[in-house]
Amino acid sequence: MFRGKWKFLLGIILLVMIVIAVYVFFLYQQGGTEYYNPPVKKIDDPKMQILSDMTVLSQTVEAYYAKNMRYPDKLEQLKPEFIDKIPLETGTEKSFIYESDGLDCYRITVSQPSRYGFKELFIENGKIIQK
Amino acid sequence: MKMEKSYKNKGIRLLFYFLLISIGLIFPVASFAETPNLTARTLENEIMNILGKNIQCKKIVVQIRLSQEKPNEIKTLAVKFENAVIGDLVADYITILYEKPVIDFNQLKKAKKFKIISSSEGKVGILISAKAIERYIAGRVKKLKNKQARVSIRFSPPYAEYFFDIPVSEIPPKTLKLLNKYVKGKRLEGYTALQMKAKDNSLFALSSKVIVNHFLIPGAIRQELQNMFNPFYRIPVLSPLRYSINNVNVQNNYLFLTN
Repeated sequence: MFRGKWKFLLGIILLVMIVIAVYVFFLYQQGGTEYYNPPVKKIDDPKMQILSDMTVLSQTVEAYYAKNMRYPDKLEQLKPEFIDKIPLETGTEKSFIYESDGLDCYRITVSQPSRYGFKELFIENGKIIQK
Repeated sequence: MKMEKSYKNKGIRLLFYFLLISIGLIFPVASFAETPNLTARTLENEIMNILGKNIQCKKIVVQIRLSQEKPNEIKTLAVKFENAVIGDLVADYITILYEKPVIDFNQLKKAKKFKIISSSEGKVGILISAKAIERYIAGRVKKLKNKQARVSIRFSPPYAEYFFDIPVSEIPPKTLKLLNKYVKGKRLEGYTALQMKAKDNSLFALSSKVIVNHFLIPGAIRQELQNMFNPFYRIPVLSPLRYSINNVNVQNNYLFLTN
């Protein structure tokens, strides 16, 4: 009777120890310098993706203003100082429509807003307008 | 007699009208003289000189655009500071944009003080480079007893990556208690990927990954560390300007803070 119980208890302790050892090994294995990189974020929803890309672009345009006291004439001027790659519209891979008077007004528009479930979708001077 | 009287009355009336007209003519000229003659360039220089005395920076640029409809009204006022000292940090660029600002001209002329009474909208943009943050950390390291600490930063939008190698002796006891299991030798070496948040001029770091001495730190400990350190920096407001930082995002070369 007792032997059976002891065996069971030892089995459990062994199992817990194995689980802990595997977990510690996992933590150790994930801590190498090859893992010195940020987690990759993926957005599956095209609607969320387009909103995220537009927000990033708008923030980058605002950062350009903070340095130059004027908005860029075209998005390419943001490269490479403020952004590595200008995002394209998800799905269509078209460029965002960018308009600016250079001084105090800019607008980033999506060419086909209906594709993402909007009648209108644009960012004007940092404010997102979605209808 | 009647004729004479009416002539006298007419004369008095004429004099009265003349007085009224002249008062009407003189007063607008006097009040115009009270409001400053808005020459954008002179006003820009005046503001620049006043701000230069109050704010420690390498260069100040002031840009005033007057309203086309009302030439005496300012449409936008933008002020840019290069290498401006904000607390212990030096921001590469700080740009503040006021729309339709009302400037206190009395203070500006008499007391040589820059004060904005009101504005319809305002924008603030602060750019801080990785190098500026590293310089700030280097300054902190100089104050340590053991100066063998190495920290470097890389911006990988939307994350800020920190690489560190710090002597255990310089780690606060509370932090050390949390990381006790992961301390093997005399040093704490590792990596962290952070996302930033800002609220009411305070900066918060949200860690998405922490590696210490070859160990990936579990989420619960990461959370405790996060609570311990946040907010990690309070952004001082450059006096006499007023703004509140509530937004931050990591860009290729800069940390970009906005209102």
